[in-house]
Amino acid sequence: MVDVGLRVRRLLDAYAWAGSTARLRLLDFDVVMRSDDARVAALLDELYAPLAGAGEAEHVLALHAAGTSAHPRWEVNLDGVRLLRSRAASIAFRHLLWEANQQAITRTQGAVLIHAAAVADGERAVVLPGPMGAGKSTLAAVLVQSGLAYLTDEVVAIDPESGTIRPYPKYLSLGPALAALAPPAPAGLETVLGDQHLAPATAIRPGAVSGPARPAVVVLPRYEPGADARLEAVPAAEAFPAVARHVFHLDRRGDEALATVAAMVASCVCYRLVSGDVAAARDALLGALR
Amino acid sequence: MTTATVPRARAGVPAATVDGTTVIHWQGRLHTLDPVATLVWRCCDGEATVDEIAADLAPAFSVPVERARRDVGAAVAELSRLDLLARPDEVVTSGAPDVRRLADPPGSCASCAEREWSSHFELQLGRRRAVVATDRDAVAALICDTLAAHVLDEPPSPGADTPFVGISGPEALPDRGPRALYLLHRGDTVLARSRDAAGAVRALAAYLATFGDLAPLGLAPLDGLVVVAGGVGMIVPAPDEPVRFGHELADRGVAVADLAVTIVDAASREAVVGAPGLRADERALAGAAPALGWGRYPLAALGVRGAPSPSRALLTYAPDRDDLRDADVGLAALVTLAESVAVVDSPSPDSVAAVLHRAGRLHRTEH
Repeated sequence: MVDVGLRVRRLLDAYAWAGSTARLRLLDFDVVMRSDDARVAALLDELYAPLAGAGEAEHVLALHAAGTSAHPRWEVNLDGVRLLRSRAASIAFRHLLWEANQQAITRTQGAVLIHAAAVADGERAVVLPGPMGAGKSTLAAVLVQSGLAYLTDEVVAIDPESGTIRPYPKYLSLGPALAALAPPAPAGLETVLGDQHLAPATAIRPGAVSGPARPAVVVLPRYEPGADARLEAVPAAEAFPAVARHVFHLDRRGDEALATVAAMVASCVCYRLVSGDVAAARDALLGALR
Repeated sequence: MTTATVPRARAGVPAATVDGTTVIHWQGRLHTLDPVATLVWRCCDGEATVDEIAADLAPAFSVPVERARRDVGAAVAELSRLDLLARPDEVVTSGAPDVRRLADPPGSCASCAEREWSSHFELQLGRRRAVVATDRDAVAALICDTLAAHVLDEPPSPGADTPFVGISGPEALPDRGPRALYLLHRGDTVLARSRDAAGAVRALAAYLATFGDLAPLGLAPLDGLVVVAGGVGMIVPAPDEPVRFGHELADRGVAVADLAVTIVDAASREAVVGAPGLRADERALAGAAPALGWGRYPLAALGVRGAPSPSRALLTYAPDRDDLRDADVGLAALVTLAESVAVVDSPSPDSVAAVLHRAGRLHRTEH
């Protein structure tokens, strides 16, 4: 009896997909993304280009048209299981990106994961933990534009043995203020992208992707509309619970995760950054780094 | 708690400390202990009393023992409140039955939750429970008669009164003209329509069966409509206009199942119409309008829209991850069917009928 997963894979391989990405390594999520719209697959290839590799992927994440001509639907499937069915291509596309990230978080076992952005100054990484809306991606984008290297805008994966960060250089998701940094939507895909502004790091600055780096600075960002940029040093003991709040998988590997984060924070210079202006925040941070 | 209390920190609680501040993760929550609370927590070894801990710590903080006793007492009370101390009478229980209530259906809507239902029942379906509601007394009586073996004696607990599925019926039957329909719905999705209460309850039983423990029976649920002619069945995608689709198939001699969810036996390539796994008493449903009878039907084909292929069948009938059913079981069955049953293009009632009548002739010749 052949494993069901292999049989599913064989059937999905036989489907007449219009386009397919390269094999992508989203941390430990080993996936190929497919679509029956070749332009969608090409866009995904571009967004995840730094994560591309050779060989056959373990999983298939697909975006395809379903329904009837009178009632068109878009579906997102992972390995033959339907994740979403929607009337709007933009909702299906957004879900596909979200799902890819969720799978990367769920399936990555050998690293401690923090909801954070990170950039690198040589081998020294700057870790920016924070909830959605704190300004992580925005700060990462302007720091990359200023010459720092890109590690991730979403998930910092720390190897508990070495303490180094594994790069997860997915596309950056930018707010309206930085929309100009994102390449224009490919022709015909405006409705698929919707109001998202997605930019591969290399579109912001060629050659921007970093290799593994060791955390040296922790910045706790907070976006406050209209606020002047304020960067203040905080003791490691104060930064520790603030970072721990953003750790994934505490239920599964709490001891290892907390010990790894404690070691990281204890070895870093820690700041709190409050700002309502991205350029001022960038300047304050770059000043502290130099 | 008294000063003679002997507190003991819970063992195996994930925690780490930076410069005296401890972060603890316990039961899904993060707790931060300041340096004083950290010291107290570490001193809770299950041997020293609160008094003794205070006496030990007073010199370290250069405070009188009386003050240390107050502070340690407060810290121990807080640790206890956060459940970070082992309780003396704590008994570890395990092996509790993993019974889950089916709830929060995709597509559920506030108006359904707020709707006035006259009867609620809680049903046990293998490892799962489901609350079923109706606004018609005749339907309630039929549910009691048909699914008596599954209806729990006690009424649904408070907070569980939002039904997983409901059957709403017409206010009054008209003397003339078309009769209003009984609707089986889950959230804002209508699953089945019937002109009589018995038909709605028959659909309810079949639907609930798809959430039962099917895997041990070698069965799996699949989203798709079973249609049958000449003793041979076929699964087609849920039609956009089910009532019209059903009428057009009936005109062509094809019977249609009550609802567009079916149960399949992939090994024998059969559709199982009915409520397998449930102890449903069909006698109460004898008055239901004629429909596809409960039983097993050999499957001649899987219908898809567009160029037919096993891979197209896989994507057409992909089980939903969020549908509260066992998606893996459905996927395994679907793959087996896609590999072993003909996949045909079936965009219209005409094409469905043609496939079934051809397969039916073949079936009769072979048998």
